[in-house]
Amino acid sequence: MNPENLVIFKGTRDGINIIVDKEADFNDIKSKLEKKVLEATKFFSGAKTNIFFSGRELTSEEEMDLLEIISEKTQINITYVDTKESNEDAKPVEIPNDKALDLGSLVHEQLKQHNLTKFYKGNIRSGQEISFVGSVVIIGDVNPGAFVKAGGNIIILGALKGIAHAGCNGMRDAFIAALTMRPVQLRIADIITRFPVIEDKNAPLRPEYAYIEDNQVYVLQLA
Amino acid sequence: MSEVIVVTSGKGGVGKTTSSANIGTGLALANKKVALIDADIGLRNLDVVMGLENRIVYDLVDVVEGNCRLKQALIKDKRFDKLFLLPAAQTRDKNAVSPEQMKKLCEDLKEDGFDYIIVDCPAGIEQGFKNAIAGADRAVVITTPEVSAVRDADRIIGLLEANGLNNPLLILNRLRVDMVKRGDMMNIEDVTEILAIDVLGIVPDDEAIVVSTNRGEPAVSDPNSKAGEAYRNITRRILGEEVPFMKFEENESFFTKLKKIFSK
Repeated sequence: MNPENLVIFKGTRDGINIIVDKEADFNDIKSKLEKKVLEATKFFSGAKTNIFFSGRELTSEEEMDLLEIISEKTQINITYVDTKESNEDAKPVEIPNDKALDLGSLVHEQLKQHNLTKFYKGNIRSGQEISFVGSVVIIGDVNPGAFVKAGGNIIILGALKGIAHAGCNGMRDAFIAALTMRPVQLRIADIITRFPVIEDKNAPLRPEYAYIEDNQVYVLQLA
Repeated sequence: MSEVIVVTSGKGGVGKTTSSANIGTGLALANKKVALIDADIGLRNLDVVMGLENRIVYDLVDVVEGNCRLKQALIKDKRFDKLFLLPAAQTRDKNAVSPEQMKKLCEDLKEDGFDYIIVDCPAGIEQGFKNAIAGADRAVVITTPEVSAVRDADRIIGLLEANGLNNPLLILNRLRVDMVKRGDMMNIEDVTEILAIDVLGIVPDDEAIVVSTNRGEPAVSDPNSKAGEAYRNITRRILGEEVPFMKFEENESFFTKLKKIFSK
């Protein structure tokens, strides 16, 4: 088999079709892709396009690997990603332009969104908002007036004193965990709750997490 | 080395102007050449608090628009010979100046040999705020121990950091020791727990401030004022000295002291 054919780029009306060889070792494919992408850097630079993978069934990890190579080595703006063979009828999810190239946003419906995670280090202050299609992990406090919104779960290694909305696209089994739970409001999927005001300032602070059961938000101590 | 320090708060009425006046005066008393800039165009106050209102000829907008030279607009404070004030325009609004122009102005003042340039920021987060922080190297955030002021300070800190002004310093103003002791007012720990920034100083609530503000004499020059002492400490900390925080003990009467001794 001609090594040139391990990875083939094919421009189509809808974007770039990347045909991946069915048989070859995945590592070979990765190095070949990297080489080809580097050769075509100029061609890719600044372009805005869709990407399809075809020729072989890729696991989501493999797909992420390939996308990582493309986004690292080029200036290409990927608007959406699709794998042709594994899901013929699947409608790809459009990603807003400003999110392009951010690897975290290279998502399509088949990829479980909450498994993508955005990490944020630092405090979220009043008026600031963190919003992400996947899950969010924050190392720092979420202050009153701040807002964290995630398609998946939210974990706050710090105090939650603002508003957190987990599973904002309807994922009802999403959870919110924080080292100190003092939110103004908790939202999971379509359920909004007010958090009881804790009067006792010296109440022991234990990590807690919130989840939905029977259409109600429950907050339990973590361990 | 010269430095531009912006004094800001978000919320109005927490003591930005008073603090600017006192910090500026304090630095001038420490023999530094200081320019106070009133960036609150349309609602100028700093000149009144400094008692220099009647000496205004040109203002900040005149300088920016080229109607006068920078030196002409700077008012020299005759009481403190290294202190200058650049007043705001009263008949214009915040849009009369752009952040680039403010940046240029701060650069020009630095070149003129000023050691410290203190910018008194207007309340709010709009154009006036953006102008005031444009040329700043450091920021001082003023808050009072009230949830609304702390919330606004938090917002301001976020905006300052977004504009590259990291590690702003906090002044907690108008603290009432008796109320804190009763648990009716937030104390410094409560405030820093939310804001999580370094504290530059704590200023107790002091009637003398009202008097000195009305008279146009900054409290920092009054040796008997508690708030003045707090501002003197703040000034020394800005100059890089390590100064312990003031102890806020109520003036105990002889009788209560006696009672304390016997109750031991």
